[in-house]
Amino acid sequence: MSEVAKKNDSGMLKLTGTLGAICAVCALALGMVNYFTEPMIAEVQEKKKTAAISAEVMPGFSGTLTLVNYTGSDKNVRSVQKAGEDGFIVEVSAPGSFSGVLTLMVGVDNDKSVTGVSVLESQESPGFGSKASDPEIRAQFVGKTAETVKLVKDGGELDGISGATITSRALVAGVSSAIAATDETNDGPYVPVEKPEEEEPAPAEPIPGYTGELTAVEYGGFDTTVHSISQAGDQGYVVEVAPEGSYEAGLVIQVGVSMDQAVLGVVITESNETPSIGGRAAEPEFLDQFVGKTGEVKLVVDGGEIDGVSGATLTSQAVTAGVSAALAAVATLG
Amino acid sequence: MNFKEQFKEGLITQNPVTVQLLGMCSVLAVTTTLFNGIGMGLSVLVVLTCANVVISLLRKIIPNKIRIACYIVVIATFVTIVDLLLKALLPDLSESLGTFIPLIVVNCIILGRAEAFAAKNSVAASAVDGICQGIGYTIILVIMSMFRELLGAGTFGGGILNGGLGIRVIPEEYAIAAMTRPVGGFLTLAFVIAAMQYFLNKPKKVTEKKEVASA
Repeated sequence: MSEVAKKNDSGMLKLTGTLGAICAVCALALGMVNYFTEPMIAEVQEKKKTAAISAEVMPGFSGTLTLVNYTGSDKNVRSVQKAGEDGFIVEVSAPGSFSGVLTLMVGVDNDKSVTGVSVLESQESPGFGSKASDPEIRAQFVGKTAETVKLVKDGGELDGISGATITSRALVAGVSSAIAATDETNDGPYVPVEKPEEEEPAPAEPIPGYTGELTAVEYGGFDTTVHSISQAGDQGYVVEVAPEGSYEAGLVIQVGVSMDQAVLGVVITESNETPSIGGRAAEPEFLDQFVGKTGEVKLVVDGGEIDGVSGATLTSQAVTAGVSAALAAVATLG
Repeated sequence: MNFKEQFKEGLITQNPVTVQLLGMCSVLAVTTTLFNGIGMGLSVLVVLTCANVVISLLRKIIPNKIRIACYIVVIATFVTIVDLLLKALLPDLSESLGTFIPLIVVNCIILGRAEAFAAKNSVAASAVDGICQGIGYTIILVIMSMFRELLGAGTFGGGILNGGLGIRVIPEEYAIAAMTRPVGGFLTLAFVIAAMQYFLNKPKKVTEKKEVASA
């Protein structure tokens, strides 16, 4: 009994071991084949997609598309491809769309009239702007030229999408860009345009460019809105202030002040203001105004020089008060 | 096992489809155009040969208890490799054959030959067997495809000749669409098997009659 059991045990090891080894080798082989075929398969899928789209956008064309150089300056034009001798297929992003995401593929024949429009990407509102993808809407553009591609309400013939004027206008603008783009190409060898890396806006700093240490300094003044002062080497000071009077409580700013008590920079570090209203106080257009200011700073509405954020007077006043407090605090350091 | 003998077996006396009656679902499904028939046949041939070779190489190592599992793993690996290669290099064929490429894994021909031949014979013989059985399978596919396409669509060489449209032999109005459906597949297969059985048994019948007559 035990001997049989022993035999079975070693058998089990051999069984699992052999099967495991075979599986391992097979997996390795598959991994290698996949490594080589994956990019090829992706390319095939891409080609299929473009073929399907170009069939929709330029009916009757079944050849290959060739990328051509776009020499114009319309940033909405993503790519221009030549459809043999039949015309062009242009990929454009429709400007002014409701969501900001509406990409079209437009076929334009040699008479500069539209042969078809296809929606590649859209985040327009479902039931309204999303109707841009409907065949009836897109069919409106067929046969239109640069002069006739206009909505009825703008003096043209296109009905657009009922209840979605913004999307309709975006479609018109996109198709117009596409038509115009076909006049701005050259026949030279295609040079892919390097899309400039979207520059991350440099994070705002109270003392721009300062990377040294901040040493805490004692504040002897009486302004309770001033939380802390730190010395930034010989560049100046960074003052943290929580000004009152903002729309929502909890506004905290940092003000960089130079040694001769002028503002170097303002950063809003905490804010509960309404994003599209008071929140816009964080934008450079507003904060850059404080650079170089000294003494007491005020909004234009209060007799000073700072233009507040339109529609966000409370927030603007609070930030301005905070900057004044910061300047005053540095003054007490003597 | 010599090559000539194996060739005769694969093609006629032990034809996987008409004699062994294996792999019939794929035969019925893909024989609608010549392109599909040839493509599928060659894919099966490749998988069959590769699987036979590997299994023959491992026949002394694979324990008896788990042999089916091991065979399936090996077969599935080769089928996947063929599937990936087709998707990358011959996407039209891949799309045409659709799920029938992955289904080669469960095609009885491959598992059947692995069990009946590759597990008991040398690598060289197994490779030859794979090729010959594959050719036998492909020939049946080609015959059926030509027949079904001709009667069912009226064309010859669909997918290959005339830019993929095939040469029209019978006008479209007279084509019997049912031939490209499963009905036509079963009927055609039945006739092909019947014809093969007749020709295989003919010499025997003649010799039987002669024996009876002389007795």
